[in-house]
Amino acid sequence: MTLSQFEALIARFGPVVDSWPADQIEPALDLLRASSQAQDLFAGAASGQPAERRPRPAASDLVERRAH
Amino acid sequence: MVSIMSNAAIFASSFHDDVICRPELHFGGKGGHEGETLVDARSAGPSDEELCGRLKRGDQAALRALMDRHAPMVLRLAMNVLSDRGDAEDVVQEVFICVWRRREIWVAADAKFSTWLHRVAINKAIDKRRSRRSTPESAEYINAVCDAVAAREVAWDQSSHVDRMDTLRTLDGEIGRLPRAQAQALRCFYFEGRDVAAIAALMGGTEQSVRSLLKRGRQALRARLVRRRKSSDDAFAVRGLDRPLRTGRR
Repeated sequence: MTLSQFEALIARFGPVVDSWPADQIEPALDLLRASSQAQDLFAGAASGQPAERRPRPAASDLVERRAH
Repeated sequence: MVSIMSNAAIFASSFHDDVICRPELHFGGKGGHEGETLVDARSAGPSDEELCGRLKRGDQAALRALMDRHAPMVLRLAMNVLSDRGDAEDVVQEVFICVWRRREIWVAADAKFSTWLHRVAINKAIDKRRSRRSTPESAEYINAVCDAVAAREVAWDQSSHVDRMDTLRTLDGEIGRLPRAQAQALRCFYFEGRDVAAIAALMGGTEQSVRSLLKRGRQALRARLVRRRKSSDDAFAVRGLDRPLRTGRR
């Protein structure tokens, strides 16, 4: 499994391994065990915030946006 | 030098009290197992990097602070991989013991502490999941045990009535230790003979959610029975799981 396939798997089925299609679990776990990028992706999905790519806005930004 | 035993004491006094016994700290609905809320424990206080610096100098309080901050997420990751609370809690302990043992290894320049910690947690959870496969009991086998018990057509021909009652009590006791919803679904399905639709109506959920509860419940039950067998020479394990059973229904 490639990283993009893994990303698609997470996007479609979420970060709970048992909810993944049975035939994809082992290939996905192989990748997850070996790839730090896949691990970071998985952790981001598990936290509910693919946040590493999307930094949380500063509170001051939010205040400013609300004001407009 | 702090031993692993003193680490265990830390887990006993802090980890269990503060994390395991406070499920509201554990999970959010969106990132995995549902029904609980993840609270970001990162509040004002020393940064992870500062705490790691203290950790490297052998400061147990720093380990406790890191656990308070990160154990909920580590537990959540482990649950997402394992779908079993007991196994996931084992992984959390292993991860923080690993943090203590390898406290000299983590270098801030390589990755954020939390990133490194999550990678360790994922690897340990995968290893745990794979180690479960080497145990002789398959999920199907536990299904067979449950089915046989439910159908009361116990095929332990050589077993005495007392033995069988012991087995029933053991199984019932282990189910009683599962999360309440899983236990209710398993009891309704296996002991009361209700079908999925009837359980969904009874529990106020969807058929899909009941199937999910049954699946997770069987997995958790299996893990508990395997642990039970490993930890003792229990009569149930010896008589109940090492012998094929005739099943009553699918």
